[in-house]
Amino acid sequence: MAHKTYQYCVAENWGKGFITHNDAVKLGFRGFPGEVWRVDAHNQDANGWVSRVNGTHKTLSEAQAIVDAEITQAQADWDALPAEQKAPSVGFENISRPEDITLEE
Amino acid sequence: MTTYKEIQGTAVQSLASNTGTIEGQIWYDNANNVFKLETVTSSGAWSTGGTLNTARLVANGFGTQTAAVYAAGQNPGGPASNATEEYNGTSWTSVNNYPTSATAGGTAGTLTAGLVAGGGGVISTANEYDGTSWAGTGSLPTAADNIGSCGTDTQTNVIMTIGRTPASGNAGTTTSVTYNGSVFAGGPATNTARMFGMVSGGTGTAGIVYGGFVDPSPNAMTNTEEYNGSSWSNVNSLNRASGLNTGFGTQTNAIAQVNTPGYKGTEQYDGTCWTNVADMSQADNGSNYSAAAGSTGSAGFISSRGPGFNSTEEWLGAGSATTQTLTTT
Repeated sequence: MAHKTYQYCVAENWGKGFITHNDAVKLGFRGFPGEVWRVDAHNQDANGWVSRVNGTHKTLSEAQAIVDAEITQAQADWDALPAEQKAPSVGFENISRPEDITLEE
Repeated sequence: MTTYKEIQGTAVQSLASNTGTIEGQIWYDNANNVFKLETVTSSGAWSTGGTLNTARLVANGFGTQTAAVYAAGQNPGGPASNATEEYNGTSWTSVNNYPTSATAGGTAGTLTAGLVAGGGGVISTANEYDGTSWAGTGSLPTAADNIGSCGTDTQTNVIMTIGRTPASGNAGTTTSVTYNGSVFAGGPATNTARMFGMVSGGTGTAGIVYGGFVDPSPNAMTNTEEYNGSSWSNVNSLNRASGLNTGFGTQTNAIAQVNTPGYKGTEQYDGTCWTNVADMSQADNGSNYSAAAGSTGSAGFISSRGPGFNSTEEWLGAGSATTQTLTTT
């Protein structure tokens, strides 16, 4: 059985205090679309953080599905933008098309 | 059993806030019913901050981590915005709108004596903020946006590097302008033209500008220059090139969030070298047009983060005072 490096959860980032300085020193966080958060697997501090933020654990495939759905919607939104908002122009900052994200085990 | 008072010579105080506490002190937070410890950070890290009320990109930020202004910008994928919000270190509050829409302008000063100049697209007007209202001041010599600013904590000792004008397009410029609190004037040219994503810090007599992006290729750059009050000099470069930098700080303590799609690395400048430090928690999806504020490289924030362009991440450097909540496990 493959050893998991990361665990995933869905948790709402409420702002100040969601990830504290102390959390960040102890753990490597990465956030993804859909309020999906990745922290280390098999780590007591990470387990404690997921519990503290009322995170809902997700398997890799469940988390990937959430991220995929968000990216697909964001790509569709971008595709629907007027052409002038996609092309570089002076005086208007263009958001590049969201790229697919593959979560790591 | 040995008591805390016997060890420390003093009892644990019950306080409403950490005002007056010292490093190493444990105190009881009677507002939140938890024990807390005043300590010093062992390393720098990013934590989450308040969420913007109005999601925006390429806004204009100035001030400190606990007293900052985030003015105008552009709604994600939509029209320009003149929404303005203040940050108190915890949450954002909507305040009087910026007089016009402006993206990626030059910024300087503090919450009660701030400055925004130029911005997309593409204007020359500038406005000062007094903590309540905006008032027009002298204009840039040329309409411009994508402006770097050396005006940390000062509204009257500022030098700005011009990134883009209608004439330069995306090729970038070496133009700089100074501001003395009332008038903009031409400044000495930088050694390298840069346009989008450059970041500046420091003051009009001890400034720094780094990174950026130009067309044509090779686009993203690592070049760093320092300003000594009369001229610009090349110094050690960023470790990683990016055209989407954001940052804050001074000439001897600056933070650069070196953002390329999917990457969230951070570098810190100590006046001589750039060093890789802790990553941010949210890598943006393909693009980032954040803005930042912070008076030193030890405490600042970057907002317009995350897929919604409304998250804030706060940086607290190593050796900074901090309050920890004590828990038992």
